[in-house]
Amino acid sequence: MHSEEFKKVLLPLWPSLYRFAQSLLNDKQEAEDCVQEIFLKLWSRKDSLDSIENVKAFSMQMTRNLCLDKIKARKRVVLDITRQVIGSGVDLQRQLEDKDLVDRIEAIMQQLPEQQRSLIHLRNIEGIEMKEIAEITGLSVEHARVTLSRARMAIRELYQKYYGQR
Amino acid sequence: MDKGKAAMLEMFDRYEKGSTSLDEDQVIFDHVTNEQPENVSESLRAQFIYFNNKKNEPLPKELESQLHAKLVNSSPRQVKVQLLLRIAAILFVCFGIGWFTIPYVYENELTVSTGPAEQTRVVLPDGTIVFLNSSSELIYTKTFSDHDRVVHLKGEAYFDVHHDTLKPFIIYTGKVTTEVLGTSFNLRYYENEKLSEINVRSGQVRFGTTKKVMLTTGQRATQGLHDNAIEVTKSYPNSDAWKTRILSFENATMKDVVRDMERYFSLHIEVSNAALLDCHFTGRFNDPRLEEFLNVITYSLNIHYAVDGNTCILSGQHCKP
Repeated sequence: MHSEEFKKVLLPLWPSLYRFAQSLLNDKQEAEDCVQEIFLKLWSRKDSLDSIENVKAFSMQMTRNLCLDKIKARKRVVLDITRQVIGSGVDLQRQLEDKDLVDRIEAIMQQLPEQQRSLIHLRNIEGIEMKEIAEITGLSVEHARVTLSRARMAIRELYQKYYGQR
Repeated sequence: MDKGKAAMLEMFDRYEKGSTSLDEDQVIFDHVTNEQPENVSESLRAQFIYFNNKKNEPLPKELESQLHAKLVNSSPRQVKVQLLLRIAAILFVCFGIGWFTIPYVYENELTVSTGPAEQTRVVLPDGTIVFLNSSSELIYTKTFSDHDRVVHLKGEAYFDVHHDTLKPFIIYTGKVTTEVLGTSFNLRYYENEKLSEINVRSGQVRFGTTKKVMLTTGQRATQGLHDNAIEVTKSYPNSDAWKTRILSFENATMKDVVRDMERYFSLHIEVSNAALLDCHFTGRFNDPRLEEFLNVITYSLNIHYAVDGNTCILSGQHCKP
């Protein structure tokens, strides 16, 4: 693949890669750095990209692998947001605003194991088909569905546990 | 419980099993956001609002321009800023014009293009000679890498590859690659024809995408844009006529003559009587003009021709015995 094709085909993928990196790393700046690294890697092997059938899935796969490596290498402890949100003393009398609901789900998402979190992100946020998700995560289509199911059930159960509402 | 409610509950259940389609998820989203909050599961409503929120989160716009900048600077050869601006200007202008024949530098890459009525010759850094036919484009780098020699081709070209066993010469025509050590062949890839075609004059060539075949002197192969099957046949004797200016037919069928004529004269040929395509013809032409060529063919076979703009119509009852 030469420069022009690379720019036409690969550059437009950056929002999906950025969102995915952000969901895994939970840090906007780190996600930006990650995306830049991924593009440099793709650029350095652009000649062999033509033989790849689905470059989008391939790039998402690369992003996931790179982010997981970064997470493993992290020395600092990520703040436990859950306690923050639950303990913030939400006034149960007032109507819950959308922002409150979003914060609650964000806290729950942080509690989910990486694979479940990735499945939710790729399916519910990126809207990717299961076959492609299987490629990106390295799971079988059936295993991916089961993981997605577990994630969705976990969201309901944790919501019930922390917020007392089904 | 009414049918509508039962159907929704069934969908929620399948959602938790991970079996809903993306369209169904959209239905769930519309339902949980339009219904009264008291009538809907709070966790379900909360998560769909969260997902929608995440989808529409603002993106760091500077990242895109940063990526552009990083890619430009990643080539081993340092390009000065002024040169970069000049290149950006030329690119901007050229996309408007469509065709340009001046080789231009873009991050170590050189492109040579020909217009609809041009042909040209390029000598590559390793001594390989490439004859480029009209409406074609060859992209290569100023210096080849340490382990191979890569070029990209759109259109048609004849390659005389410099022999180098250590560095395979690789040509990309779309997704199809042609790999050579030292040989000569004609390679063709016009996007509207939806295939890559190679005719090997001499030497050995490896051709294909994920599946490849080894071809040798006198062989021809094609690979379609959308399928993996490679068809190998005998080489077309006139595949490089555009370069040699020689059209040679030895008991060739009119079907082949018409095909070679169409390519050489850039014409569309119509035959009034399909039986004419089975006629045989023998003859050799050296840099022929169209009328000269048509006169000989039609006289030999006792048929008639008529030229109308870009189309030539051949008509007749049968061939001369």
